[in-house]
Amino acid sequence: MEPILRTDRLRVEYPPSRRGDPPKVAVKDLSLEVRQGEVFGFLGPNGAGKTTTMSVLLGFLAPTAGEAYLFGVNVRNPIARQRIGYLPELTYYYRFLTAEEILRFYARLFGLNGVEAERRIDRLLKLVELEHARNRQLKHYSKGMQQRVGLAQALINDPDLLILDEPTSGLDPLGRMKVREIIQRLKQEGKTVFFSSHELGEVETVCDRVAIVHQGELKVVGRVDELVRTHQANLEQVFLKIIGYPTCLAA
Amino acid sequence: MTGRTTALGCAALLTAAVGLAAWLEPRSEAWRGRRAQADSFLLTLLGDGRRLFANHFFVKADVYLHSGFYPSIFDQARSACEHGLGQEQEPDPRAEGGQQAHDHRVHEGHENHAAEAHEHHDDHNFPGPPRDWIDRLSRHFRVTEHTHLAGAQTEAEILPWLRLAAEFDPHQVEFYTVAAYWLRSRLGKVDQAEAFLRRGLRVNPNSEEILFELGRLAWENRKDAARARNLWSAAEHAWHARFGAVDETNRVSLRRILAHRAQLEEETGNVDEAIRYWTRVRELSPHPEAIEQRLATLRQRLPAAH
Amino acid sequence: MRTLLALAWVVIKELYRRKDFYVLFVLTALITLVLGSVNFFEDTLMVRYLREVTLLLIWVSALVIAVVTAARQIPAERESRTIFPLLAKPVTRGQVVLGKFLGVWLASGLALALFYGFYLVVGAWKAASGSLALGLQAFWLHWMMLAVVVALAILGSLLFSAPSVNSTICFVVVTGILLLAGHLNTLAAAQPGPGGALMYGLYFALPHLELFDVRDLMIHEHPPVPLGPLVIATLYAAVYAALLLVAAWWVFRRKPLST
Ligand SMILES: Nc1ncnc2c1ncn2[C@@H]1O[C@H](COP(=O)(O)OP(=O)(O)OP(=O)(O)O)[C@@H](O)[C@H]1O
Ligand SMILES: [Mg+2]
Repeated sequence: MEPILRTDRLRVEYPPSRRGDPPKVAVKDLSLEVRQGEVFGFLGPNGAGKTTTMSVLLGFLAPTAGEAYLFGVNVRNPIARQRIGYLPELTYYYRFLTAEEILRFYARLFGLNGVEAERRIDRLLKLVELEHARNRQLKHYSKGMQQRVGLAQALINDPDLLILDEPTSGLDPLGRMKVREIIQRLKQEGKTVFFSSHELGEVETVCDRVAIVHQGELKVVGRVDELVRTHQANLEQVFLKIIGYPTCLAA
Repeated sequence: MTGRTTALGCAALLTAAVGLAAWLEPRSEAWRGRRAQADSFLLTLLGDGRRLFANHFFVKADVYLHSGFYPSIFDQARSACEHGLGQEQEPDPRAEGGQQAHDHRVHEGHENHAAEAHEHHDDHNFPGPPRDWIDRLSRHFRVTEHTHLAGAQTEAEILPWLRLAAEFDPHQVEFYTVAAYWLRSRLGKVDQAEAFLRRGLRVNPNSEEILFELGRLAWENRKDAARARNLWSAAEHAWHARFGAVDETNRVSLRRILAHRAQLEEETGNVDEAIRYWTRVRELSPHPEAIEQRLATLRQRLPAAH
Repeated sequence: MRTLLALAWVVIKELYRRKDFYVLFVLTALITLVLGSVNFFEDTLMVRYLREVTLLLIWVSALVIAVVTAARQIPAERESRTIFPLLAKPVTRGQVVLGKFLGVWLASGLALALFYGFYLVVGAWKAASGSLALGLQAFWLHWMMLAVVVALAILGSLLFSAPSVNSTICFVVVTGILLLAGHLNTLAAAQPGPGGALMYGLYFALPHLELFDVRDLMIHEHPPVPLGPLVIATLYAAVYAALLLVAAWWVFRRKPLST
């Protein structure tokens, strides 16, 4: 079966900040496959190239080399993004709109209108627990509330593939648990989730498979339980070992 | 970002606000004590810009008189190139009798450069045929019809600009005299004209132009010959105090004072005095023959009077 | 079209929920009312100077609103990073440019309508309303001119990274065009050689925004503009706005949007 998300020797270089320097290589020959119905954890230390990879998948950046496909369609084609939901990291949504208005706006971009749109907005606001603040402008929202708006907008089109960049950042423990629940629910509905995270504990509980990247290179990919079994350690220790941190210290 | 936008808006409106302040400030005559302070503040704030604004407003009055039909400085420069500069127009000798014709200009005399250039254009058919398609199209959106304000209702429209000009540069005597001319002879507001001239005189105490204009007002509008005589004598004194000797630049202003005085004496029957003044006018006039004729007829009246 | 309207709607909502627009309106109204209540030489019939001042304030305010609003749109999307969830939706970059343009243009049209409404009120107050047809034409032409200005500012916002730099450049360019563009042919004729040729080039290439300024016709109560030239001017503005928007799209399309 055609993987839902596939990258083929993807390479992304950023232009150097100073003339004469070599370009900054953020992603090196990354080949990944995410299958239908999987929850896939995309792990790596800060600056590993996770956000960069997602930017290519969403068409914000053109890869320097290699290709990427969503639903078998090259990401250069905007059609590839019809059935996805995306949660970016660190986004400050339109300050002058209310949560409800923002969701209505995004719904309209998918051609959703009227009763159907309102039904979804109600449901999503309830899901991310923002019902009480739905008519307040976002400039009065806290960071975690903004993150919830982000999650709601990613789900507005009932997507088949979710690309979430650090979905739990900025959330309190209850919020994180809620996100985990949402991811698990989506999995039960047969959706595919591709997300990056630094919370290895939560990754361990929700993910079917994980990939660990370091300095733009894919270090390891596989089922969580298999990784834990072959390395004889928990996911955190595996992660630290792979990125070259002395494991004796970690252990 | 809100801050910057507001700042931009405020900067854009600052000019207008300063203009407003400049011109509201003297209206608060009640606060006499504070005037000097406010005046100097404004002076430092605007400096020479004041004079620039004042001239701009003066030109604006001229534009209004022509209902917006006016050549830009570029058109004026072009015309100057095409037709050559320095075609000094000699004053019309007929005008010296005091019956000055209304010649459709803010400036009733032929003294102003802007008016000069402007008249020039009337003669040479401003704006001329369109030079390209953009020019042709743009004529539909500009004032291309040369009309003039007519009647007291619309002629009053130039006054705010003259007033504003005088507020910005109170030492430019022309602003007072021109405004007074329009007020008294076109709009029938003699008291207003006099008040404005007096105001100008307070700032420019020895201005022969303002004294002359006050004299005209006294004679032409109030028929107060004694007062007009006094004022014109004062104007003559002021002229001598300022210039001393006659030369090409100041000849006209003296001649005007004397010619009006001569006319007054003639009309009030003081033939001796009239002859005395007309003789002095003759010496200053570029058309002495015309004056000579006039003197001849007067001299004929002389024996009859005695 | 639905996408464009949705994008435009966000811009319009933002404009009327921000305070700066009201500041400009209130300032314009205040200055006009104060000026209008002043009595020159005990003559209350004067109205043209008031028209002149009001229209000048309207022109300055509309320019500020249009340029500043247009210049901040795409940079603000990038700064708050909302451009990412936006482009992750089935929205092309061309649609973003067009939607933003439409939003700013409609929003400045609304603001403009308010300002011209105020102008009518001032006219009624002074019992000298002038020709309504010409008033509507002035509004329409002004709005068409703003289309070019908005497109220019949006293009600028993709070329210069700082919105303040872009706004300043736009102000200088637009003011320069308004004051000089109509005279470039005169200047060119006066200057022989390559300088003159360059000026002629500019004369024919620059959008003649001064065409859309019929303030003098309004102030001095001239008859309205005939329909033909009005249509030509509208098309003229549409062509320039479209060219600038195509340029903006072309720049934006190739721009990598890194975080
Ligand atoms: N616009 C840019 N210009 C130059 N280099 C960049 C740019 N954006 C990212 N990089 C570099 O690319 C590398 C990968 O960055 P990226 O944002 O993809 O990391 P990440 O895995 O998302 O990290 P984090 O966990 O901190 O979010 C980093 O070394 C970063 O310095
Ligand atoms: Mg990241």
